[in-house]
Amino acid sequence: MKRQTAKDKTILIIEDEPAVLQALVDTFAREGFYVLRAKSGNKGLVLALKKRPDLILLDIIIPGMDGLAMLEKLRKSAWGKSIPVIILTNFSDDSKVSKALENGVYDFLVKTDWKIRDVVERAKNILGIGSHDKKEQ
Amino acid sequence: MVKKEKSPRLLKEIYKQDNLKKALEDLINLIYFTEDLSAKIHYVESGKKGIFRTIRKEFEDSKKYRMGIFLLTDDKTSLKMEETSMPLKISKLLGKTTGEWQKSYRINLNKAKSFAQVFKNGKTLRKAVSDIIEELFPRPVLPLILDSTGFNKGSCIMTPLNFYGKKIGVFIMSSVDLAEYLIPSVKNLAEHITAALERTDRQTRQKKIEDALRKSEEKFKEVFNSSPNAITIADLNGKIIDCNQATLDLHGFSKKKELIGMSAFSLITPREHRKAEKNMKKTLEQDSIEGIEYTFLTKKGQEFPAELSASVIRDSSGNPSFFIAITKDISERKNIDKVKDEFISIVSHQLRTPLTVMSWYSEMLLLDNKHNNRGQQEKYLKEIYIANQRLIELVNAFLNVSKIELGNFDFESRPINLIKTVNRILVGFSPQIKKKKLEIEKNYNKKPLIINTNVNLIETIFQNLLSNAIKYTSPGGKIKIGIIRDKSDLLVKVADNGYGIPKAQQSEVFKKLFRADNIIKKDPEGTGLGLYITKSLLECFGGEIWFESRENRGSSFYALIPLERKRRAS
Repeated sequence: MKRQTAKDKTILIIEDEPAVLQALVDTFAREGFYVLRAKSGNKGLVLALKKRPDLILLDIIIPGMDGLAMLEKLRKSAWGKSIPVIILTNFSDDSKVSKALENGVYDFLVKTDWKIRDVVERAKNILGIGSHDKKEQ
Repeated sequence: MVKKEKSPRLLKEIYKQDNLKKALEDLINLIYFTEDLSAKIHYVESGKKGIFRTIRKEFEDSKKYRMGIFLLTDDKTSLKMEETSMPLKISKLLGKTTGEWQKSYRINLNKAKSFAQVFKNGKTLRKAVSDIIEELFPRPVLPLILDSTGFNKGSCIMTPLNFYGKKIGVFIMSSVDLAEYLIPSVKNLAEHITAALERTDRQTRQKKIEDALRKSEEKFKEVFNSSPNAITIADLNGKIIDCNQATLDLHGFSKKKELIGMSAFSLITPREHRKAEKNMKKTLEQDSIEGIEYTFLTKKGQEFPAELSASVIRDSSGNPSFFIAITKDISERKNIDKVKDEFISIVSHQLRTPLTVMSWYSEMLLLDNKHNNRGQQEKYLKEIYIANQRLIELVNAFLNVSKIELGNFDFESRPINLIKTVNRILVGFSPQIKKKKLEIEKNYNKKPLIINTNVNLIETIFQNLLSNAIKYTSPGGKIKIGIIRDKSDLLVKVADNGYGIPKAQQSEVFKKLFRADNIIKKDPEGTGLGLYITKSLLECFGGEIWFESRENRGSSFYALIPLERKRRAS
């Protein structure tokens, strides 16, 4: 089986805070990912369905349709059923976590608690690539 | 040693009860004026005395029987006789006055041996009575009454009168004949007398208890009806027996009869019936239960949260007879809790965003130093700096909010030069004004304007209104500042031709943490607290704030500041 690398992977980051978005874009781009960005739920959904990324990083508090609503719509579409999604947020509200988990989210990361490197590692892990060479389960 | 018994209830004590006294007198009359013994017994029992008044005259002439009741006074040691009319009546029987009788007659005690030597005068009669009372003679005494010459004048039967088992006196009957055969009847009559006395006493006391009960019931009714708390009384199955006006109001009923007879459970959502049943059992076991939260229902089926406390009311023998419950609507408290939770949640989000930026950019600077060129490093540092500034601004705003909400704001007023203050604030904004090439139009007299006010209030108003106008106006736009002062108020106007506020969101402008959709897109870095703080503070000073706005045309904010601080009535 051909070894996967970051270069083959497209990642969509949906985040409305420009500074946070820029940090993620810079870091993932440097790792070799092809990075797409959106600042609202609506734009994120359109972009996801059009470009079909391998992984989505999704903020919850975003203008227009919020992250969870967008996720629900995504899961209803034929393509979006199984696409891995990492929720990035600064909420640590239990009800939101459980709602996100219902929708098959891979991770629910509180931004302040995570180093940006670890976010990247987590993404690589999910996509089966990267330095930590974990066996696929 | 024999335990000392409580002294008998004595006459004075009995006489304190008006009803009893009257009953006693009635009894005496009844007995005295009744001729036939069996009739006496019958009438004492049934209490019909009226008929006998009519035959009184006839009876008095016959002089066949006489009888009397002697009652003890409260002097326990000497056991004096109460001077009722009875001794007189007995002496009348013997044809003499009391005094003469006492002197003239002696009583032969052949048939009551141990009374020998005793019945010589009035004193001895007392002793005889007291002996009976002390139960020296368990059987009725039957002395013969002889005149001074030894002629048999008749006989006298004495039998103790009981009052709840205590001897309180004697019943005496005398006859011109030998009356030995009357003993059983006399005993019987005495029993009826004591029974009648006890009955009257019970009735009197019962009436007193009932009066007291009725009074306390009236008091309770008054408290019950006027209580602002919803009080419901239910039987042991939970069926509503009674409720007050507050209960009707709480559940939206208009009449008591709609609720009475209904199960109290029907006021609680069916989801919680099992919980309610459990708690009802628990209440019975531990007598009361406090502050249990339920989702209650109104008549129309609307749900609301309320807290229920209940107690078991028991009857005199300790058996539970019903429940009394107080229900308190806690919607408001719940709402406050919800708002508080939301606030904490949003605040944590707001604070964490700049913290994330600072953390990630410094991490990027540290880890990937070799990849970054100088330009990029500077860019990252700038992001850290901006995030830090934003954090400072946020923390200050939150502290202000908590100061206002806790009422810790300093409300001192002192004279300030308003124009100077406004100019100082404008100087602080000059970098942004210059950067956006905004035009500032000052529509006020530039001469010093001294007013007596709170400097924090003035600074908060101008800081927030100007900062919003500068942030939410496109480059090259225009901001107008107006200040008008009259006798009692100061009116401040800050108008811009900027982005404006979407009509649909205008009602939310002063809400805590609100930010309009259009400006979030243009500037994600706002706290959503500025106008909330300004409005809250102004209201504390009795002032007002309002605005006019059209999207893409601009906004005009007005603040009315009273110069004499009127504290808002809370």
